[in-house]
Amino acid sequence: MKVEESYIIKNLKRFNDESLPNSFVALAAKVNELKQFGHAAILIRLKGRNFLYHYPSFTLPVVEDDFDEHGWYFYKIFSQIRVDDVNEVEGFLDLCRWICGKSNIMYAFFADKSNYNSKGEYISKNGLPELGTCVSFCVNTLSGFMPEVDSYLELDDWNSSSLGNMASYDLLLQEYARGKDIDMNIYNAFKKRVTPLEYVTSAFLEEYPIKREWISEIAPIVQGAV
Amino acid sequence: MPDELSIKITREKDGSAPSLTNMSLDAAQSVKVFIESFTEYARAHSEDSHIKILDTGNAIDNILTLPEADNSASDEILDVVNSESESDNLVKVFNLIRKRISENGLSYEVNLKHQDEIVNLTEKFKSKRFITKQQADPPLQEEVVFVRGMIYESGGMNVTNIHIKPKKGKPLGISCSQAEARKFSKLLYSTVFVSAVRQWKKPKDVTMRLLDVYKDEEQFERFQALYHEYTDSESSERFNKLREDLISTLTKFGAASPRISRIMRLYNHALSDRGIIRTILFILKPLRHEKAIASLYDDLATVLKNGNTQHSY
Repeated sequence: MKVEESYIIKNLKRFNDESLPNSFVALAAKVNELKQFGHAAILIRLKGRNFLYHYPSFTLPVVEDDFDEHGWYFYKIFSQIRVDDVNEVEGFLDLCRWICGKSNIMYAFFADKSNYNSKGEYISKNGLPELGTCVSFCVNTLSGFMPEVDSYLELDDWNSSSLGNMASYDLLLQEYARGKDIDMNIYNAFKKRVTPLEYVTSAFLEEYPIKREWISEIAPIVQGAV
Repeated sequence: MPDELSIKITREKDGSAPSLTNMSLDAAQSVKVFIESFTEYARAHSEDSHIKILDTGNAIDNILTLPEADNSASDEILDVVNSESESDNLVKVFNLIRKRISENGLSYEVNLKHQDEIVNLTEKFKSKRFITKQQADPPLQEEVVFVRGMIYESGGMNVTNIHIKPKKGKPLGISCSQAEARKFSKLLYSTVFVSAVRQWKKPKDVTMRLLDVYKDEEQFERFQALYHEYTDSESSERFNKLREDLISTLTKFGAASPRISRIMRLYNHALSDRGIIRTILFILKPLRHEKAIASLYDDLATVLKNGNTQHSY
C-alpha cells in the first residue's frame, strides 16, 4: 500500500480552510494545541451545509446540524462515497441519523465485530452490551457502508496496546459492570483501541479491510501534516 | 518563431494556378470566409493574446499567427481538428473553414506550424465535420420505463431480446437473459407488463434492457408508482420511506420476499440513484449471503463501484 506523501499533505484538510466540494463524506478528528488527535467523527457536507456525526462519549451518538468550529478539526474525504453526488451523500446522512436513533452504545475500549441487524438492532457476538469509543463507533458505521467486506478495518490487528493513559476510562466500565451482567473476562479478551490518528489515516487507504500495518506506515506523515 | 496556421489556395476550380490579379469569384469568397473565421477566432481570445491575422500581401495565402508565449493556441486548434475540443464556439468557427475547403472544388493546403514543426492538416479540413469532445463521446443517459404491450417475439442467437408492441407507439426490442426469454416465449401474443432501462449516448443509439417482469397490471402499477415515489422526490424523506418499507417487508417475509428483489431490480442500472442503492445495501448487508438476494446485492454493489471513479480527493 503505497501512498505518496504529497498526496497526504494535499488531501488532509483543516475545517474550514478551503473551498471544497459542496457534498462529501469525510473521516475527521479534532486536533489540540499539541497537535494530538483527539475526538473522532464523520464530517458530512451536503449542498454546502456541514453535519457532524459522532459519539460524544458521555452522551449517545448524534448528528449535529450546521456544524461549525474554528480550525480544530482535520479530515480526509472518504473515497467510497462519490463527491458531489447529492443523492449518495444525502442517503449516507439519512442512515447516520437512523443509526443515532438506534444506538445504545456505552464507552469502552472494545470491539468484538458485533454488528447491527437489518432493523438496526445491535446483535452482540459475545453477550456484552453495545460498547465502543468515538472511533470504534465511526468505524462500525463505515463498515456498514462497505457492501462487499465485513469490516472497514481489520480489527484483529488491534489490541489494547495503545490505551496508554486512556486506561483510566476503563474504570468507569468496571464500576458499571459491577452492577450489571458484564463479563469482564470477555471484555478484556476483546479490549482494543484504534486511535483517532489511525482512524483519520485510514481514509488515505483504499483496500479493505484496512490492515493496521498499512496505517502505521503512513500515520507519521498524517501527524506531520497537521 | 510563433506558431501559425496557414491556408493556401493551390489551384482554381479549372486547375489553373490562382493569381491575385485574376482571382475567381469562388476563390475570393473563400478568402472572405477564412479572414472572417480568423477574425472570429481572434475575437474569442483576449485582446492581449497576440493572435494576428498576417497580411502576406498575397490574398491566396491566409495566415493566422498564434501567440509566441506558449503552444496553447496551436494545441487548441489541434484539439478542434481531432474532435477533442470542448469549445462549441471554436468548433463552429473551424467548421466554417472546413466546409468551404471540403465543398467548393478549389484546392487548398492547410498547415499548422506547431513548435517549429509543420503539421499538414489539409486532409483533416477536407474530411468529416469537426465535433466537440462532448459530441464525440457524449455522457451516458438513462431512463427507467414501464412498458405494457403485446409480446410478439422472444429469443435470438447472439443477443437475446423480447419484442413488445405497446398499445401506443413503436414496437420495442428489450434485451434480456436466455432464461427470461424462455419464459417469455410461453407468453407470445399475450399482454405482458415489464420495466426496463433505456440507455443511450447518442439519441440514435438507444438500447433497452429488461429490469423486471410483473405478473399483472395491478402489480405493474404498484411498482411503477413506488419507483416514481422513491426516485422523483428530492426530499430525503424518500430514504426513510424506503428503509421502513424494506424493514417491514423483511420482518414479515424475510429476504426471500419477492418485494425486496423487485425493489432491487428497479435500481440495478448504471445511473441509478446512489442514495437509494446505499440504503438498500446498508439494510440488506447483514442478509447479503441469503440466496434470494445474493446476486442482486452483488449487482447493486457493482453499480456503486463502477460509478465511483474519483481519485482526486
